[in-house]
Amino acid sequence: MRTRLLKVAVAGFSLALIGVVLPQAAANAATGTNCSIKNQLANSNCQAVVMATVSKIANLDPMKPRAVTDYQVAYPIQGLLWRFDENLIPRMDLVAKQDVAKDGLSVFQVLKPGLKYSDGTPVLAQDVVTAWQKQVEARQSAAFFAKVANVVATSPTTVTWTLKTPMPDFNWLMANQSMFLNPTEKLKDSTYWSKPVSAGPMKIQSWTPGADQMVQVANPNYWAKPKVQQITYVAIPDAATRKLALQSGQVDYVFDLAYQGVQDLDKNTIKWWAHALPGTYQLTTNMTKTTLPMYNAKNRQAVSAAIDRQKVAKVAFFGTVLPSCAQTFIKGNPYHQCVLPNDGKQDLALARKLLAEAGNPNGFSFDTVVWARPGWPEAAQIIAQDLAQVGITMKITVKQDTVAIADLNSGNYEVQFSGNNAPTPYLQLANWFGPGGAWQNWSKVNDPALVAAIDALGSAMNPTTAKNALKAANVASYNSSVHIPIADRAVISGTRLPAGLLSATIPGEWLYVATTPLLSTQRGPAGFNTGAKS
Amino acid sequence: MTAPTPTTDAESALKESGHGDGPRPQSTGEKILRRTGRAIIVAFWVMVVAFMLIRLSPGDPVTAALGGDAAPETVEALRKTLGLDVDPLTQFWQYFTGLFQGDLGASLISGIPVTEMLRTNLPVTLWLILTTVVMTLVISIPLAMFIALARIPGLPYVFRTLTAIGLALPSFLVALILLYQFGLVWGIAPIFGYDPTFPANMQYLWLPALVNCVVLVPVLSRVLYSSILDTLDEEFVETGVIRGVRSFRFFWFYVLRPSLAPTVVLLSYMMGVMVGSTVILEIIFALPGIGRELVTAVTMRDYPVVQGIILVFGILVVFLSLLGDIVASILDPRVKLT
Amino acid sequence: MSANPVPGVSPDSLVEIRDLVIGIQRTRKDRLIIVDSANFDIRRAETLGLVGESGSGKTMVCRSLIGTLKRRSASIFAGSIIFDGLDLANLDERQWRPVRGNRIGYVPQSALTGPNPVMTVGKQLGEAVRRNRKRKDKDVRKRGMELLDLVHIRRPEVVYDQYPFQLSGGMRQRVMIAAAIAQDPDIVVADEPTTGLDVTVQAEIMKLLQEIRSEFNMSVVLVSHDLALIDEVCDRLVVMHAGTCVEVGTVPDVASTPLHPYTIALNRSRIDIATPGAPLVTIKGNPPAVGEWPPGCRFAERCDLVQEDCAVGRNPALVEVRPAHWSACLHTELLGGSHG
Repeated sequence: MRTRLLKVAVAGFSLALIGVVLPQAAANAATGTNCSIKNQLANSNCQAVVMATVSKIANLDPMKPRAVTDYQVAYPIQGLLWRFDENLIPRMDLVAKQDVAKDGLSVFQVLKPGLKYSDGTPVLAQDVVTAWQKQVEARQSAAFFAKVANVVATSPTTVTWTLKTPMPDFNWLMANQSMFLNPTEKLKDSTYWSKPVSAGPMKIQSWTPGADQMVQVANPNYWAKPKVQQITYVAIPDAATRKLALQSGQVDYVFDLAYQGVQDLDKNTIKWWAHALPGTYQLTTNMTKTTLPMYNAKNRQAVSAAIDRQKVAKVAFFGTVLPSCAQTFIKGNPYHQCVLPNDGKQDLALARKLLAEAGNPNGFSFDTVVWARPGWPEAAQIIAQDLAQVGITMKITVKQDTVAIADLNSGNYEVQFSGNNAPTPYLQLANWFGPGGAWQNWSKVNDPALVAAIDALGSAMNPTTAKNALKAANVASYNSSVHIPIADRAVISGTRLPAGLLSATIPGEWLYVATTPLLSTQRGPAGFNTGAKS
Repeated sequence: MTAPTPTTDAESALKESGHGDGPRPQSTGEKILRRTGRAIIVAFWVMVVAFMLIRLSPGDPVTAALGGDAAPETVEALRKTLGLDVDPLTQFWQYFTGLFQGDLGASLISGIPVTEMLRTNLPVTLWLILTTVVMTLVISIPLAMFIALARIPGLPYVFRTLTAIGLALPSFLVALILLYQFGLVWGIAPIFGYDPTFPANMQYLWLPALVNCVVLVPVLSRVLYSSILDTLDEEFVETGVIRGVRSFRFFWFYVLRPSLAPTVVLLSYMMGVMVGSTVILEIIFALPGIGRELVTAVTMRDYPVVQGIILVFGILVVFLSLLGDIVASILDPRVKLT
Repeated sequence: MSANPVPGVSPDSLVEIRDLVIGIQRTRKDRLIIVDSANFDIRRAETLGLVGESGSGKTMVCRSLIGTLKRRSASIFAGSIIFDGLDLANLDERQWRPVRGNRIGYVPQSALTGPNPVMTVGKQLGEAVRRNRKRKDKDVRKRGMELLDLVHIRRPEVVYDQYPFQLSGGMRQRVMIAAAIAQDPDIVVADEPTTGLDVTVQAEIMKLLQEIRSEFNMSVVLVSHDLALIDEVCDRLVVMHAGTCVEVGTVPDVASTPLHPYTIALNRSRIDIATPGAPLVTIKGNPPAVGEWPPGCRFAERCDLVQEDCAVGRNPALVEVRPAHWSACLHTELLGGSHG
């Protein structure tokens, strides 16, 4: 009787397991037939694709704080005058024509004819004005909008922007998440953001705020045809699970894979790549601590010279990022030039010389807070080893982001290893050194020469001026070395889809969906932006 | 030979045996009510602690939400919008009074009411806990009975070794290993996702529940195993055999049921602890449970959400232990509900 | 002296236990013998006392009568237990079923752990009444009440639905007796049924057993280490020491003329007849440990009258020294007059 009982129990359990498990094994469906990385984008057939996001979609309202995933999924449903292509170049989207006055202080825009939102409401010039007003109210993208004096809808399809200074980065402003066009009338409805309409390539088919999933389908009212008919976004918070989901084929596109282990993804079915972020890892110094050795610019430059940036990029970030050789980011920066001594390569002799000049021939010691993000503590560790070679002791404390930010706010830190991005070199520098910039605010760096150089960059009206201004700003930045650049930033995407179909262009913000015609054919007027080669 | 004295009646017999003395015994209903009352008090303190902890920890929701690059005036504006410009005592009073109107506040980040989040996400966590309990029992009971009854030499030793290994493994590691093996290599489990309807949700829950089992089954089956050994030593098992009780009735009434109470109480306690481990599982298995919301809310310093979820977790832990005690006292009348 | 080596043969014999050897098979070759050469009869409608120190094997003999040795990993290696033409020593589980509980009832040792704690009194009685046979619930309840009434439980309808933990020790034991006699068995085996009960309750239980024996014409096998108790309620007694029956006889015979030094020693250590003020006499030494029995008479080491031939050779067998009075002592002649 003992054995009978056991038999029944085992059999019952097995049956239950099989009943639950087998349907799943059978349900492992594959995506479209011509939908693999081996296919060219032109003849691919990916009807429905699944993308894994790092968190669930909480909020689409651009007036409220949004997280990485919110920006990502909103981008394809966002009506935009300009839109980033997969190479992060702003392309003309809803705008048909854009002219800039000779003095650079007025921009005239003409919308494409007959534009409609997904529900059939016409896209009006007034909606552009509304988008601008909402952003000013919410005080978002403040550095951008500080340069805008006024926006006027001169007709239902024409808009005139009046600028306070020339604005080479104007098209970035047009293409970033701030200029989210929505029907002015419908925005008055308080529930609008739970079911926003779309003037972008995709539109929402199903979504509940706070739910793990959103389904978007091609927007028939968009002027171009998206190359996918449906995108399902699923939230997978754990990086290891995201990787497994991609490997198993249950998702087609994964954003933010761990550096470690991407190498063992099957090359025949999965392509992975590192998105360069327009940003830099840096060691940032608290300039209120005037008695500490790091207050001395020569000491900071000695630190800069002693760091083996190549090793940091290779070991801590698995070769997915470029080592820095100037303050601003390298990848996607058309005016990039190296300004660091010895092109940013480790130069221990220079470090020792600078230390001697600073009166610290035997080195010194400083404390560093490192944010607990993948690769960051490892990078700090390598830097500490490098510095030890010239007698500098870097003590490392790893802290959660929120705690580290609290430290920044309260000024309770000596040095932090951190990272920062901005869409253009000008905005990056302004945020670091310019009045009101977040990092300027924290580090209390005050360098008028640097601010002047950055201002010159921000108003440069042609590529040559811009290139020279960027170099001057970078040199001034090295002289100050309050923020010591380490390497570019990058985040890894993996996909089973044909190249170029989906791309989280700038991780955390913009998701590019390929269309017919391709956005890259929508060139804008030449000569007005510092960042893009159209 | 004198005639046997008739036995004293039930009341004095009760006294003689040392049971049931003192005032009128409380009914089970009253006991449950009293336990629930205590649970509410515990929940209140949990709420107070949650309120203080999240505010005392460094970092605030505004910088967490806006990130490192926000301008100071932006930060100040958001602080005002979120009602964080008043002192913490006022914030607590507002929160506490809201609680009585069933209002747990709304997320500072998404604006979604906490009650709404609980409504959508709590069932997932509860289903996970339920599935874990059922699976743990379904695995532990036959396992413990087999080891106790099969009398295979060396088997208890192997069992002990395996349980020690199971206990030592961190659950996130077990989760990833099982997800890799079942989800990717064998393809018999979905890697992520959830379906809120039963029984479709089982497809997504059995693997995370199995991970919990890796920790729970060793503990529980070991406790049950030694309880069964103790029970088998008891004389009433003999009387059962002599009465000719056999099969399921014998195993249930004479072996299992008298042995189950400690296991049930332990399981309910362990499930309280497992509420914490469901947080990890919800992240790894991408289940839209409430634990995952808690993690997000903590990193974003989303005060109302953190408070609401910790309150619910506190109630859940107390309720689970209450439930365990009730079930144990039903299974084994010797167990007293205190 | 009779030449008959088999004690207790009588037309009244209900059970004949002959040369019973009980032990535990520890490994393939290693056997631990707990009882060897148990030899006695159980007669119809008698109360037979089984007395001895702990470890003497009396409980094992009991279990062999109800077929639950196997649960304690023990088994019968040799000998026979003839009951109504059946050899209980050779029954398999299936053959035991109609005997155990039906024809031989059992009252467990402890009132605390004897009843199943998770079942009501009624449910347990019901099992004993039903015996896996289909019987209407109403009939089962009626019979259960009857049984409770038989064992003098005053409010059977209340007690029937109570759990054992709600009852006193004495009442629990009454319930156990009720369950044991549910099928009107020929024999009731009671293994120290009053352990843990206080003295007055103990007496009540004993009286109840006596009453039931006479009313239903049952045999009762009462296991105890308490000679006073045995003297009071039993007709005959079997004294066991170190796995062996050392003396068998009627209670008056054994009381007046004990034929084994061990019995005499047991009698001397009785509390109830001890001289007030005098130091309590205990039996010197400890009983030999199971498996470490010395050669010859196993009481030799503790015996005041030990002779040279006592501690050699085989374990002495029971001999009918006087009519219906058997002893395993080699030197009963030395006992004359040593005890009055």
